[in-house]
Amino acid sequence: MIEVHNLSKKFIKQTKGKGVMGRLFPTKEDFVAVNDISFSVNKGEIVAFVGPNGAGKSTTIKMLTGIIHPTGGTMTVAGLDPVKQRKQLAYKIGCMFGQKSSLWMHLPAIDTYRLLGAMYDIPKDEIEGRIQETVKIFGIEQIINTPVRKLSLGQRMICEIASIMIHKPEIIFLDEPTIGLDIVVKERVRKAILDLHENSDTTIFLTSHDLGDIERLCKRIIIIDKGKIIKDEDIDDLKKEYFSEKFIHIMYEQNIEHVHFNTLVMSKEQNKVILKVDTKTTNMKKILEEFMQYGNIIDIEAVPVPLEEVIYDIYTST
Amino acid sequence: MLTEVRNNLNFILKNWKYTFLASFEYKKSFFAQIIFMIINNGFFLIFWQTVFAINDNQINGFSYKDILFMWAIVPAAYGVANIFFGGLNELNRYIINGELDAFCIQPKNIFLNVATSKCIVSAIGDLVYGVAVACFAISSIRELALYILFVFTGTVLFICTKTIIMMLGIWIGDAETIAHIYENNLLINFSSYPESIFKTWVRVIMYTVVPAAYMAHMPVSLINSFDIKMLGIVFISVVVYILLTVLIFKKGMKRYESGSGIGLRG
Repeated sequence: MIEVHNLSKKFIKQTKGKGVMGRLFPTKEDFVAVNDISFSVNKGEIVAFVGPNGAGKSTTIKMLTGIIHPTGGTMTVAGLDPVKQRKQLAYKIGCMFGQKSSLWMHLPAIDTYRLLGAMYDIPKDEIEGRIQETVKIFGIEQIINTPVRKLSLGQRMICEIASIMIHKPEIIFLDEPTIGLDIVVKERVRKAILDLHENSDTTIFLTSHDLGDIERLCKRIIIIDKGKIIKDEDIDDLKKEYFSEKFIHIMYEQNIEHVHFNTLVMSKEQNKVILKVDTKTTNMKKILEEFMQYGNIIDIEAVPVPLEEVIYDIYTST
Repeated sequence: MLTEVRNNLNFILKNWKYTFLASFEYKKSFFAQIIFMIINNGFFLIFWQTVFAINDNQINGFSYKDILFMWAIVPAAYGVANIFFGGLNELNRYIINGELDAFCIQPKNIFLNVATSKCIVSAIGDLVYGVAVACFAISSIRELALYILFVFTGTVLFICTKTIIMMLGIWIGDAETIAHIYENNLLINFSSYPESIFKTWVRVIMYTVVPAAYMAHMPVSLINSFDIKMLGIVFISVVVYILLTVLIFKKGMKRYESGSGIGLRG
């Protein structure tokens, strides 16, 4: 679906000096936003494309969607060249860029959908059916005729995602789809994205600083930093590779008092102990035998380290 | 090819329909803007009536009827340009904020998509006013035909000049103030007064960088006494401005695509 080979993008960056003259005559230098990256995405995959600010995420998406042109390398998206076939490509992709709305604020969402029908040359007799189908998938029957400005942020975001589906794109680019949303709305948006994927087997290319989005939606993660891809693998593998540490929550039948605090014990409550263990170096049998001495264990839970910590570790180590 | 033209036309008509519906959402404001624009323009005619009354109904060979034609053509052309292509007023903001991206990912011509994406409501007042004044000024079918023709050429010139100035934002950043000064203080002002009152160097400007002569003065002269050569010059100027607009828009879009600091968010 997406093939990228040695893709690069340079910008001219102006650096302003001190004083009036420095402001008037800034120095110019090349800034490499994307540096020789290669990857491919298969049909139906949901891929997270993450990195710190200024890493080159949005620049890459803008090249893949034909908005800006690369300075080096080649790419095909849905079998098309985004540089030479911008218009043809536009029929095959759907994009949602952060909080930039594609809906008309003063009109009901259904009017935007009808306009999108004309935008994507969908025949008159077909567009109403498409709208009904999309509305049903996202469960927005009740709000479709309300002017967008009167909708809540969550309702608006769901309508935004639904608007991408009107022309049935093969690939969807989502750039920060949950930015600025509260946790309830985030969950609704994530569910809408999953529904969309389930219903159409659409390929989804997602960037987000919210690692909750990535854990909930994606199986594969590509990490970019300073314009270069530094990781491209399965999210679970990444966790295993980077963190063999796990949090072990042990629940006892009764309150425990005689636990010896050592390097393993992270915290102790009345009948609960939380340990942090490295599964590569720790003898788990020995640990469990030791902690069984303190009382009757009623529950044990092993919690993997959150993805956030994994990503933070990767960002800070590069 | 024919299907593409039909699809584009269908899209433009739909875009106009929804821009108009969106503008009509605040009905009171909608009508107030139109009425105030008509009143605003009306004061200029009262001013000219007084000036002509003082000067024995002519200024440097310019009659009150000439002024009527000028005020029939220019507001109507401005009105049509801003009602149907009002999105061009946002072009500079789209460039500066990177909002042009939204148009780049859509399968339609970027210029037409941007231009037809907004309707300036007050411009309806300009159009109504221009047509109303034309009703007083026009006294023959020939004049009516020429009037319609020059509203069309004037509309094209308004669209072209606005696009050129707004696209400057690609190179200079904020071009909105310049566009405002250019359109209101130069183009409209130069098009609203008799050519004969301007000095030679101002006329040079009106025949080159600010096409007021082709928008108002030559059309009024042609309505008075038709001259095929002069009409040819008006057409040529319109074609030159169209070509210049296409060139600058394409160059600008290429530069937008090649950076301009917009794609650096990631």
